[in-house]
Amino acid sequence: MNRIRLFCLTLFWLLLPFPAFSASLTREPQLLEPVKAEYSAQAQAAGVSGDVVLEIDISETGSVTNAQVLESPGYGLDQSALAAAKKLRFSPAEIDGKPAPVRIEYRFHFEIKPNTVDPPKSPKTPVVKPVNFRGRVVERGSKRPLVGAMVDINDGSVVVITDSQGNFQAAGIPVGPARIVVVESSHLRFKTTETIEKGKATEVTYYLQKAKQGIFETIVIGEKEKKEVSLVKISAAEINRIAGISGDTVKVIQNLPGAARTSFGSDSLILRGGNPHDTKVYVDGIEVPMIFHFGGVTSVYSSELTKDVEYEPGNFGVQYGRATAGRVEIKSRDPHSKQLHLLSDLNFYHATALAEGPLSENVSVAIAARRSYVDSLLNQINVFDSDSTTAFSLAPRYYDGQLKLTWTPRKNDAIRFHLFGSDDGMGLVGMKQETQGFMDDLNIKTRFFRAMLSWDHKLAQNTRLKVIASQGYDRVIANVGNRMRQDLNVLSTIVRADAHHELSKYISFGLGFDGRFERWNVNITSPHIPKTNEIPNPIDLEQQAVLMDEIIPVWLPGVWAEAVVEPMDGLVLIPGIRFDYGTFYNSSWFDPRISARWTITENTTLKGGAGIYHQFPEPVYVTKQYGNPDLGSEGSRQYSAGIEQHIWGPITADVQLYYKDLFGLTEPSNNIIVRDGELVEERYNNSGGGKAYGAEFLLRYNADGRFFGWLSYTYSKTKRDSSNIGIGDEDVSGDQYDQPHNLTAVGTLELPEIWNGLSAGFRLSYGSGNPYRKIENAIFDADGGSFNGIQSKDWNARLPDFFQLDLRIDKKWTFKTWSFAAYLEAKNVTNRKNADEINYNYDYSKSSFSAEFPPTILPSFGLRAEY
Amino acid sequence: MNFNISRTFGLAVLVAIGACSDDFDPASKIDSFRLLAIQANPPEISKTQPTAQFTSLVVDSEHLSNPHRQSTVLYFVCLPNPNNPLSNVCTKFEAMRDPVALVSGAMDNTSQCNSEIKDGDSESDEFNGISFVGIEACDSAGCRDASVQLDNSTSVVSLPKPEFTIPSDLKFDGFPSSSLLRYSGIQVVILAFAIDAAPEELISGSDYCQAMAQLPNRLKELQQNRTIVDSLKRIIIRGPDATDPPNENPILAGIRTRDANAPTTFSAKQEIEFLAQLPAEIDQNQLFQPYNRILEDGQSVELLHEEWSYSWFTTSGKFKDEITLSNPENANKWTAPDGSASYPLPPSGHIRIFMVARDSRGGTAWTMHEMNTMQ
Repeated sequence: MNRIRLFCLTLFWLLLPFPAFSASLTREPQLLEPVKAEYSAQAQAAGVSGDVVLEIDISETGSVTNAQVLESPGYGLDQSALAAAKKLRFSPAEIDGKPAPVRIEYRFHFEIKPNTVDPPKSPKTPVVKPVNFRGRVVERGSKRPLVGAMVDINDGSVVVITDSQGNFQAAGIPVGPARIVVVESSHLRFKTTETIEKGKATEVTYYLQKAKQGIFETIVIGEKEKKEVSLVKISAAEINRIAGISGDTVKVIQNLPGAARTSFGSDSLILRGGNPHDTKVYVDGIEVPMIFHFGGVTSVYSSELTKDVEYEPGNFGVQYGRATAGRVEIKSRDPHSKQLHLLSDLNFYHATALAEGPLSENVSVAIAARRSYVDSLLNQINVFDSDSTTAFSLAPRYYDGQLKLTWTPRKNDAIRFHLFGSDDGMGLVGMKQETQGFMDDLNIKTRFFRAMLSWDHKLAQNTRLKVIASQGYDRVIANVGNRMRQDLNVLSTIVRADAHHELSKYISFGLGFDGRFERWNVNITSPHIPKTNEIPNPIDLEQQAVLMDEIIPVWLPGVWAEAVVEPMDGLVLIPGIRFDYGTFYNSSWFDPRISARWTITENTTLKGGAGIYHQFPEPVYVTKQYGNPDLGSEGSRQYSAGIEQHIWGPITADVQLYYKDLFGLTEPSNNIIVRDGELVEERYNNSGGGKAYGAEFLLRYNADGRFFGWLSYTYSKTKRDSSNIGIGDEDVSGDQYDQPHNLTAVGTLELPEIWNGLSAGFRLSYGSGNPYRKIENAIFDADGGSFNGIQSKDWNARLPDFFQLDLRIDKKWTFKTWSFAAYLEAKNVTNRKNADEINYNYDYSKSSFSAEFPPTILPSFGLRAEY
Repeated sequence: MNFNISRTFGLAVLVAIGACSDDFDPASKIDSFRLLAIQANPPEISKTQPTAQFTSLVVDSEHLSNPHRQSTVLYFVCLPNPNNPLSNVCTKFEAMRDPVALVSGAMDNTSQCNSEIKDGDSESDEFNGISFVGIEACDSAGCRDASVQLDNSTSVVSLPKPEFTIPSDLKFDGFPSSSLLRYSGIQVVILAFAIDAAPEELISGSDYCQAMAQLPNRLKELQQNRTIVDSLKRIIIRGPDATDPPNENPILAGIRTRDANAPTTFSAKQEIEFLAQLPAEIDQNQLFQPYNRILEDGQSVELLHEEWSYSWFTTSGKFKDEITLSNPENANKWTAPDGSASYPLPPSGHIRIFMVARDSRGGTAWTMHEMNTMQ
């Protein structure tokens, strides 16, 4: 007799959730009711065995709503499988903790068993069989225990499921060879044969290969709670393979809508027309002075310990303040609590090491460190001309390190200690003097660290509390020759306390305190500061000095309150208000803000926001020595509206429009005012204004196991009354960061046909050139012996458009307990010399563009081993 | 406190990787009409020494073949606004976009036959305090007093010597005793225009007054097709509370090599290390004058000695450095022309090397050395 043996195999999730954008899959659907597919008569007659692979859609309730055949041996088995699939029942999948529809692959296996004669059954006394086969199922490479994996022994004679630790055991397995098949939804089917020996329990560990590399390692770029206006999410697996960013989670921001391109050597973030000072960067809610190392090479926080990067180019909520443009926050993840995890990463710029694991049942720890070796390379190669006197006194280098300890004493409490920091430095001596001056050597060091203690507490089912206390230390040393020396160090104590209470299903409240106490120790010696609009005076530069040696205490308390209201299904309104005050600046303000999201259909969400944003001016402009102590705050009124649309299959779109009204901007002043009874130069005032507006477009192809990528386009226009704020800078109009067009296309294609684990990707960037001011005249300064270029009063010219194509190939080898990955990357493969800035000859009669880095094709590599 | 260091870091990175260099001709290469320096003598004036005279170092690559080719330097003075002595229109970026227009306006507002400084009663007049103060004629031998033969005249008219005398109504009495100006003094800006044209091309007319009246128009005309180098130079009117000795111009004895006088001949590709030759009879501590570097509130912070910078120029060949410093004194390597397109051997076989010394306080001096191709 033909006996039909059928079992089902779920191979892997395609992760194509129906909501407009891919999000974090927090729970996979589990099969509740296996269904037997009938063998078709046609297939039975032909003696055909094989698999029918289906793509099935599972609703929020776990029922199958649709199924289509991907592979089939034919002979009517596809119809049998389709019919059976409709009857399958699953536990609902969850996305971001909420039941959500998903699409998965599902496999029916059809196999004809040879006719056998069942032996006559005789009643027996039930006996307890001893466990003689036990083991553990873990993920290949990461050794993560696989929960709920199905272990099929001897073609279904015994089927056991792995527990929360990935363990299983089976009793009474007949002595001799046993056919084992292990199936888990997100991993490839594993098949082997074991030998069961008499009187012995066979112990095994099975390593299952992940069906899609990194599909669940989701790092979210964008807001987390999906309640703000901005929204972009990209998985870590994608980030790790995007060409041109060397796997840096934060650098991916520069390829998203709203972010202007910055040149090599700049660690700035230019978001929605804001100046670098207008965007604040945070790690776990605590502001840090910089987010990129050493002129933007890589971020200051390890990507390996990053859980989310929250990127909001505008219209962020009231929890954050003191910034008039955008906000970027790195959210760190907790250390692995189940097992030891070791990682080593080596790329063109630096080496990273990470170790993490449990210290006890409820304490886990992670430690990571990174060290650049650019300095070693530069010391080996001859960077400078052979006859040059210039040399490194300290070759460029950067370090960073992170230590995180998580303790969960009770279910409702989590206490975290987090220590991280960064250290950059470089020095040059013997720099060639092109003109009379004092800049023959240059020494720059920046260092910061933060020690944080946080407590997450669930007071009640609907009330949460989070308290963070942080102690920080920042130091910047910058010496330029013997005339300009600055040593700034800042001790900062930051306390944040957030409380959230859910009043009902439709309304919840949040209340928070965001206070900082800082102690600035400022020690600056600088040459005479040119007056506003004044040609630098070499006699004053030499003969007069400005000294500043002060300790300045600054107290910056802030409080905020917001409500999350759902007046109707799909509509979320978030009104809020924030108050800030600063002692040193002697400024305060109330900032009301509101944002809204309205999911009008399953595939369409409208969103919008409006709000007022204030920030303190840069501290140096408020000092008596360099600025105006009476300088007030700067502000912006931000408005944005957009739509998120699921277009088809894996393709989604996000369109946003924004408008910013800038007011109270710091502007150079020639006015003579009375201060403390004396006539003094005002230097700066708040008479500046401006506007920024634009449109952002993001078209994404969400990862489907074969391809992922996106097309990002930003149209942005910015105009300021005065956009060249600096010590002694002149009063000009336009905007030095204005880049009307920015387009980035990113894509990565999996190539298992060529080699399992191989993928290839590209990044294409196009953008408007940066503005510059034309030279209208040049004046020979006979006291300095050099020419001063007199620039126009407007940013009236633009560098040529920027274009760059980067390519990358990745290969990952996964072994039982560790994995190894390598990539090769080539930046600027078209060998284009993009203009970075304009250079002039000594009397400004000739000019040329200097090429942006890399000026030619730049190959690089990366290696990564993980245990 | 958010540190704004990105610009500095960016600059450092660019410098480190040499990304901002370009292959422009260096400033030390003289291959056209150039103004290399202006000297005020003395660089600081006071009640006891109320007048300063000016002269310029103008060079032209054509001087080697045509030593009598003439050029002109026009001098104007910009007095600070008496209501705001910290401000001087001639040092503003805005005003210097078209300085020829600025002085043309000043000339229009000035009595053309009167070289006195217009004291400017009107505060709204942007040309207040700008006045013509003299003219020089230059050729390969240097710059000197100028004279022209006007139309309808057989006699030669001497043109005003470039000099400036403290106006009688400029006093420090109005400044409070705490004012830094009483210590540091007031800066007067001299605008100089070196024009690749002989004085006769600028000053012409039936009489002197008419010629001067037409000067702005001639200047504008010449601006179209002649090289005009716009320049500014500062002199200091010492304040009554100044404590440092009056600044003087550097004193140079010539150019030398490490252990000998500079050679008078050279061969192709020869490398010679040049240094400044200082007068042996003057003590170095006296030569490099002491001065107090001051805070803007008028307090002395440190006593320094001048550090001179030397700017080097050559009509052929190339210098390793554009500038060398006096402390420590570094030689500047000069490489003789190799006959290539970039550094051709001079047809005349004659080379001039100029060195300009600046004391960074307004004092300036220069010297020149000539060499010929070795036969």
